[in-house]
Amino acid sequence: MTLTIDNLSKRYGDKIALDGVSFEVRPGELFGFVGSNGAGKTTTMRITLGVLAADSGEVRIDGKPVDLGMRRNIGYMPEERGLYPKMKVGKQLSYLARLHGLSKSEASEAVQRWTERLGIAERLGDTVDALSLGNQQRVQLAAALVHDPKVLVLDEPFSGLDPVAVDVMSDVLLEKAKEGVPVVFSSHQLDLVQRLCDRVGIIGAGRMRAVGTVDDLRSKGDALLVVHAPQAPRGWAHGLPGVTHAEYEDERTVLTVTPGADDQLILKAALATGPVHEFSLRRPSLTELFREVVSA
Amino acid sequence: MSAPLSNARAVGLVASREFVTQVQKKSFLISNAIILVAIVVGIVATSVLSGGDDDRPTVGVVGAPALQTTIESLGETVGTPLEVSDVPDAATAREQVSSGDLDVALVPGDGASVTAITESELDTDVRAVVEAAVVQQAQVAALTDRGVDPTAVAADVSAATVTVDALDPPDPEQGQRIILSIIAVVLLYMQILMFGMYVAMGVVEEKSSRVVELLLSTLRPLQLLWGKILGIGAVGLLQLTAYGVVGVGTALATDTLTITGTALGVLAGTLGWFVLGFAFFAVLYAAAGSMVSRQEDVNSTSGPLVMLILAMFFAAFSSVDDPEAGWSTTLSWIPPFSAILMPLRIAAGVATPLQIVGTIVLMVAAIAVLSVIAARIYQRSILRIGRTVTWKEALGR
Repeated sequence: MTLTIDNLSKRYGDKIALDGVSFEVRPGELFGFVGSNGAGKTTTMRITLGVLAADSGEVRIDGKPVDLGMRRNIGYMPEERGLYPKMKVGKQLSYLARLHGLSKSEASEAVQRWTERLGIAERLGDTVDALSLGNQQRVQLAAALVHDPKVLVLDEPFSGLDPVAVDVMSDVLLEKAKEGVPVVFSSHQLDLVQRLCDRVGIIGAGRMRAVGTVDDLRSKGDALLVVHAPQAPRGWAHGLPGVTHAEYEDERTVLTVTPGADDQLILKAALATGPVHEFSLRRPSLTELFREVVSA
Repeated sequence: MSAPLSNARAVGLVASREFVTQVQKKSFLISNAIILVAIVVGIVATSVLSGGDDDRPTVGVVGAPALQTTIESLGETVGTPLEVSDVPDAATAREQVSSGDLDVALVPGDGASVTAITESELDTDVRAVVEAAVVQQAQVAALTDRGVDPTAVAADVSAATVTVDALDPPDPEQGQRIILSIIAVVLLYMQILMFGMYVAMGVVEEKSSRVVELLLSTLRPLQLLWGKILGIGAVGLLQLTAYGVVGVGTALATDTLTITGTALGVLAGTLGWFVLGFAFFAVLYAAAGSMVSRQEDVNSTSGPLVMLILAMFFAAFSSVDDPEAGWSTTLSWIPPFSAILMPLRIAAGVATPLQIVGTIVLMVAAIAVLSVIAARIYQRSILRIGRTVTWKEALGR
């Protein structure tokens, strides 16, 4: 299935929350949705789940506008974690599964399977408020997965997880993606997003600033070129085409170059000053890219 | 692909969760067990203390079987039924009176005279019956002596009767009717207030625990709203039915209540009006609950509802004495006052079928309108976490 977010707009009074947000999550793809707080991630996800109504634009699954029936095929983890505090884990998950259309026996089978997978099977008889925060998070993930969703929308699934739980969560997401489920999740842990995601969307102030594969985005941003030419005079790179900024350290120069810059030309200019021991291009990390995009 | 969930199934799932959660609470089970036992014990105790046939005055008669039957029948006619027994001799009679087995012992003396032996004083009612019986006995003897047939005289005399034509006859059932009304009013008041509050607390619980966002991703707000109201309402109805059936059943079995038809009518009326009254307030309580984010704040939005229920309660109490007063009749047509005034009028036996049907129609219409408004408030407030939404904001455009 393909999840399509098409041109969503939403305003709260005078404040524009979303301004023409569009992106697509393809079958089996892990899509990282990043942006600062208040950029519009949660609003986009809430609209996707029909918890909020958009002012304009629509959400489609396989080309069809999402209605309530189709929404039951989405697994959702809201940013504001929420479960009935006084309800037992097993009953709660089974209830949520049945609300998504599973029969009683299917529900209890799914509860068993997912609680075992997530390591909370022995807590089925405990009320949620008796669990540790980490285990509550696992129950919350189980709640998003228990009805065997065909699309996953997870708002900050990694926040508040211990390192072991982060690994469990990553494995589950990769596994679901491998099954062909489109997975979109938001996160502030950009290294994690860079490691896990096939594609990334960066949102800032209600607009999509960049969408693409991590490599794509990295190659599009300004790169850093480190040149080790001991005899080069200060200012040697000044005025070279494609160089926007140069920092001269003792024997090394760190150049900021635009994506289309001709590095061979820069190399020639460096060689003209004497020997060159190092000439390396460093693509920006997602974190650097994010800072750049958001501050732009 | 999961199967599509029908409206009925979605509401049913929510309702059964609410029902089971409520019914499985320890506090709920314990408090209801205590209340049910208290109802049975209270009614049985009342019936034992107020006594039954045991308090008839006992009269012993030495010999004179004719006098015995006369006393018995006279006692029945004048409304002072007596327990008459045969005593072998005067000495035994004295003994039984002094031991308390007999209230009075009658010992026939010379001619038609009779001596009444009693502990200290002869009850005036008993005395009147005994004297009349003795006189009647003497008259029969005298008439027979003079050759007149006493039965013929009795037949002639019996034609001379006084028929009572009361302009405002006392209702012998009035005492029981008033008690029934008071119980119905108090129960309705408590049930509506308590279960209305449960609805509000349930809504806030979902909102404050944020689980509502997960629920609303798979349910329509109205499915959630009505599932909750139906589930909690069913618990309320079950509880009220248990109180009513146990209470009325025990009262009828112990003869504390003798007006079976009226009692069952009041029970049915109370249950029916609970459903309507609860529905009316439950939608409002759900709206009130959706407007706050913390349980502590529920009172700030449910305050006006409590005031309204209190007003209903006082109106009902003021009209227990005189349910036919003009203001009470008028008020009983107006929802939600009808929910508490109508069971009262049914108990008092002054509600016409037309009024019962009419008030039900009005109440259902009011509930329909309110549920639309309440659902709108609920939908627009349920995801607004943080500051309490005021009624003015919730109702505004």
